[in-house]
Amino acid sequence: MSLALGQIRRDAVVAFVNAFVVAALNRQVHERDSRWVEDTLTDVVATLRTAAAVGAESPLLLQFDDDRICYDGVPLDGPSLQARSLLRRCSERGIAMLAFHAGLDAAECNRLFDLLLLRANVSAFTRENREAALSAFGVRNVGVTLRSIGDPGNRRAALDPEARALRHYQELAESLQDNHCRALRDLELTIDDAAAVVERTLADFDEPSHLLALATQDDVDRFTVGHSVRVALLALQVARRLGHGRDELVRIGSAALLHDIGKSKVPQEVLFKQGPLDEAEWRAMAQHPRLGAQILLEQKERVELTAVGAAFCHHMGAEGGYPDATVPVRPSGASRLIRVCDVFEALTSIRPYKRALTPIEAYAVMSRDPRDFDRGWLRAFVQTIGLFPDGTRLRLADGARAVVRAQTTCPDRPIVQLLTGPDDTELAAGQPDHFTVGDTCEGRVLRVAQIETQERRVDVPELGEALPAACVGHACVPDAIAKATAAQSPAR
Amino acid sequence: MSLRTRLGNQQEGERFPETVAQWRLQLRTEVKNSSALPTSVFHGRDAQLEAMLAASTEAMLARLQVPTPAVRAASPGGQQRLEAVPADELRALPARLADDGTPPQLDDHAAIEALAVLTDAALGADPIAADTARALLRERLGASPGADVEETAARLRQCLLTGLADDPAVAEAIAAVARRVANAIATESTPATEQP
Repeated sequence: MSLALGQIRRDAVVAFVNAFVVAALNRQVHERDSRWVEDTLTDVVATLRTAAAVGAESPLLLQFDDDRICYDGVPLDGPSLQARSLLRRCSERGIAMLAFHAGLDAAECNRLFDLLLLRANVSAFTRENREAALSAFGVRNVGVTLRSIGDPGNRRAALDPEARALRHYQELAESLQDNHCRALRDLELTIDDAAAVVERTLADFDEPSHLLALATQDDVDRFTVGHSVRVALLALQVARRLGHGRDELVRIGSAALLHDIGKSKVPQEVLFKQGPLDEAEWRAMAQHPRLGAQILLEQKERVELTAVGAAFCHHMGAEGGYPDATVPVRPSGASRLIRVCDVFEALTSIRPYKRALTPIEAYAVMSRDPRDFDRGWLRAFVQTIGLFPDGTRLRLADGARAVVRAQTTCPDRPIVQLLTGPDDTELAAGQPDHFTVGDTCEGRVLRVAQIETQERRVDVPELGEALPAACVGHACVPDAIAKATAAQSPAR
Repeated sequence: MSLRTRLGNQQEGERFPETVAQWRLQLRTEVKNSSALPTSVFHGRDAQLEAMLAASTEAMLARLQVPTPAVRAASPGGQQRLEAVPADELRALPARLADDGTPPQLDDHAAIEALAVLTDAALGADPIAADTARALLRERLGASPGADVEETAARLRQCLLTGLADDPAVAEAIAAVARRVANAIATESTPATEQP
């Protein structure tokens, strides 16, 4: 079968797994028979049928390890990002694999979630009891395979940096899911837990590329939880480069993670509306910063005023923005940084109503009006993330293709790995392939002509003058090249 | 033969493999018929050609049935706006981001931001948040219950005006708000709740 058809099947399976994860999340947040659960269960059934329609095998087999959901032995990182609680519950029940038959309907899927998600039903999946439990709950179209006796599950997280990054991202997302859920139900938030998760993440943040790479995955909930996790990672990255200490990083990371907590009080039909908001809906949405600050102030647990301020001020520019406060507010440096990260993330991600900008385009949009964003923080952000962030695919002026591997102190001069020679010719074996943009290679200056994304190609004009270089934070060019070469040598 | 039309709804979609098999058969025949070569020569030159053509076209058509995650996220009408960013704006980036020699600090204006946000909450939030805000304001302004209202109001007004452009109307409005907050603080009986 053709490669393309294999990819279609895989996309269909990913869509099903995304729907399954979203439905599980909704079951944990909303009432069992609520409209939100019902809608997402319908999506599970529809995507399962689509997967079958494009030839995915039936039953569709998903493997569950401690960290990831896998299909056909291949980990699905995107759907796994927010599946921490689902994975944990499967792990508690010793589930190694679920087999979904095409006859599954929404009601049956909901009963499956009773078995999978409710604490009272953990023991239902003992080896002797499994078939009886599935039968008692009327689950006939999902088969369960338990882990073999003595199987410790997956222990790679302790060793593998990519697995550790995934675990950190999942913990950040889970902490946020939990807090959004608590805020929705007017329960006490777990702020200290969120701070602890940020602190654990920082322990692995010396090499943040794996975490930032995960942030580019297609997340199941990119609008709230996924967005906030990415904003937190960006804010941490900038603050870390500027040399802030651990306590300050935990403070800024926690504030960034919780900046949109007020959205938990915005009606879901407004929050997830697939189209422009009318005036009343917009007013409801524009309340989320004030609601967020209010939620944080209602906590018995200590809440840093940095987080309260960021929740309240992250939509405020130097002039204008919202909410309309009782007195004029001058946002703090932390709130200004979080605002830059927040808008950058929103501009560079796909939303129901808009396509994604490339980072360089986002910077241009954000720098249009000096009253919108603090220039100092925007500059610091660009100097950290770069005009062409790591992983960006480029076409150079001579026609060579390259991928960005690391940043230097000059945000417009990243280190790239050449994928081809001039005019897309093959690189000679043994030829050096790591260069800094702006350097001369065999008599020609390496200049970026185009950015290539999955859906667009963006022409990059000559900038004329250089962007201001960062004073601190990035490795010197030779060190960075050596590091990028060592890390990426098998990537071509 | 219109595969898209036939697979236009979910029920039809379930017959996809069967439809593809029929369509593939038809396509093979059409490919052979379209070739200028006799069938035997056609097979003799490249036996895989028809199968590859069929598989590739099948894949392209099937692709239409399963939107990518990005497309799935699009609005039902499929209309996604793309902000236009002209090349001139990209060229202007270095000038716009020119270093003005003021490295940003996380704590810039932190105290003023906190007072303004607490003021807003003290007067407008739900009771629990308002209580907490008043208690924190009392602590930050060093105003114990029963403290002199005018003194507290003046201190708060001065803080809230810091860095603002000179505007008598704004100053007056802030003075009024500061007085309301100072009154609320003075009459509050709850002790300060900012934890150690």
